[in-house]
Amino acid sequence: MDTHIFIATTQGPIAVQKITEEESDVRSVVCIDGSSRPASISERYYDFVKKGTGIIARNFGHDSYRVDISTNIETGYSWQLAVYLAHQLQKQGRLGNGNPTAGDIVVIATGEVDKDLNIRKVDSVPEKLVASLVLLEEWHVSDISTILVVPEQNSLLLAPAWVESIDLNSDWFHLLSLDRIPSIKRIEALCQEGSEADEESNTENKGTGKGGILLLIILLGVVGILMGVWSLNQTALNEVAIVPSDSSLSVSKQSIVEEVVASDMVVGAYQLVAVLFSAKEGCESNNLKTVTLTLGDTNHFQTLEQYRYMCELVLTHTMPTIANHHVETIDLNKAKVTPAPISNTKGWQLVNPTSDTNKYYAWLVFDKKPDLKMWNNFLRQLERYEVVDKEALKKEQFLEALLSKNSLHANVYRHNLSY
Amino acid sequence: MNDKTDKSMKVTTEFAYSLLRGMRGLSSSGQLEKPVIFNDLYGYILGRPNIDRSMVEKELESNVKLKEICDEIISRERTFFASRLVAAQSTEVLDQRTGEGFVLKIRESNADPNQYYLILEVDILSYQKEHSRVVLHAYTDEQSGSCVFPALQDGKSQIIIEKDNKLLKLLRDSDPEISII
Repeated sequence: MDTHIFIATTQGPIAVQKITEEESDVRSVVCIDGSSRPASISERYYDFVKKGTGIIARNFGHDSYRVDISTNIETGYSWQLAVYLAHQLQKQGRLGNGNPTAGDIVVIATGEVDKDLNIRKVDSVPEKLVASLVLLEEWHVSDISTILVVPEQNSLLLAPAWVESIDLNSDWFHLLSLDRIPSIKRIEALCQEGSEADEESNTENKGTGKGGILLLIILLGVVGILMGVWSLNQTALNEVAIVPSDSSLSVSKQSIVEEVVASDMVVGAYQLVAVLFSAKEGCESNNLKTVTLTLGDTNHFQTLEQYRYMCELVLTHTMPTIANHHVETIDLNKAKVTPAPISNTKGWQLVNPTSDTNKYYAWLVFDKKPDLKMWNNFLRQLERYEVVDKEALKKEQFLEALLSKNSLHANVYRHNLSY
Repeated sequence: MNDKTDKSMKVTTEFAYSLLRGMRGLSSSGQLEKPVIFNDLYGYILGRPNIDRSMVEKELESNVKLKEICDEIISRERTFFASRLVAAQSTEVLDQRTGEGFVLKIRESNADPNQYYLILEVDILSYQKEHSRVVLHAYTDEQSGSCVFPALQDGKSQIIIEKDNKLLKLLRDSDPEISII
């Protein structure tokens, strides 16, 4: 198991690939990806190291190093915390090469370090976190434990409300906010011991106050996210995908079509078409991909689990005889009914579950447009239930029973979405 | 001294004109290669950015007259100088050159044995260019090479060059004269 250090930047995490002790008369230097090109921060790193005023020479017993990083860093001092942690690992011979694999630990850090090893606040921490999201998700999927280390003074910038606004999945990483450089082993312990380590560090911090070694703010926004989403959806959080779209951040949630109830439907007649975009491109991209999900024997559409970034969800049909079918969408949280726009070429455009936090929708597919009077009766009763017994709306067979009571015949599809 | 300077200025100017004329002639006839003009040569010597150094060096290898002009300008512009080593016949690879007011160290990188550090340390009291680039020119009768160092810090500057770099070979394997501008 290796531990890899990444420098959080607004352009995404930059790996510290290697640190090498050089001869003492060599000026310490930061090079880009093993090449002979010095990074723009090279002179600042020299000052960070040099004998007399630099903290690296003082604390690591040598005064000339070469650091290789994966991409250039133009300016600033926020790389200092990550590089210091990398020096700790290098001293122990355990610094990873920046290509983590399953079981490894990744530490992403940002912060300026003063001569007393206090960590000073830096700019653009939220932006750096946003720029890390794609990799955070990749590492999570690849079973790589990730810990994000930020200055304590910046922790307020990462308020739960903000985190909630981007639906950050707290399962992807641990978050530490520190006022002083810790031992790298402590950081690694958090990943290895999970919540127990979190608890221990918190306790210790309480005992030592501001001057303490480590202040742990666990799992940024976990409570915020959980409470927010639970109150909205009343179901368990499963997965969240957060991706940058174009130049701004957008949030896409994963849709899982779990349940379909359709008593007299023709199996195979309907299918779902999901229009997807890649993690780095938005819905305006020319590289949109469509995925067709068919209805299986168990009356479940295939899951969308592996397709995280969705622009559009369309219900289509394969049989000409059902081309004139009518589709309505019901928001079961609000008992609100909205007709699904009909597209002759595409089918019925459904509410995109990735752009709506409401998880409870049902689609009613009629073989023809329903009788208006009966349909209005159905709606009135639906609204009444919304007032007197809202939970009833979500019960199995409820819609079927209400439709039947109003002499309406429709195939009922429910999609139960997990986020 | 004044006579010498005037003479070299005259030679330089004449050469510059001839180069410029040549350039005009070539561009009007649609020839292939962009010629080296005086501005290129002077920019090369002073380490100015946006100068195609490899183009100038290539021209210097084949154009004896241009090489003479180049050497003349370097001798006028340089701050520090190291003459050829006395022990030139030695087969030992050189890892340091010392001149009047500077030391040039050559160190193999521990991180990558295919890369070498060129470390320049100058007598800062004799050098008034602390915050600007520093140019090193090394030359024998047959070969020449140069590099531009970043601005000095604490009297030191450093670049990294690849093992197969022509300048590195020249510095390590031969006994070139070295001028620091």
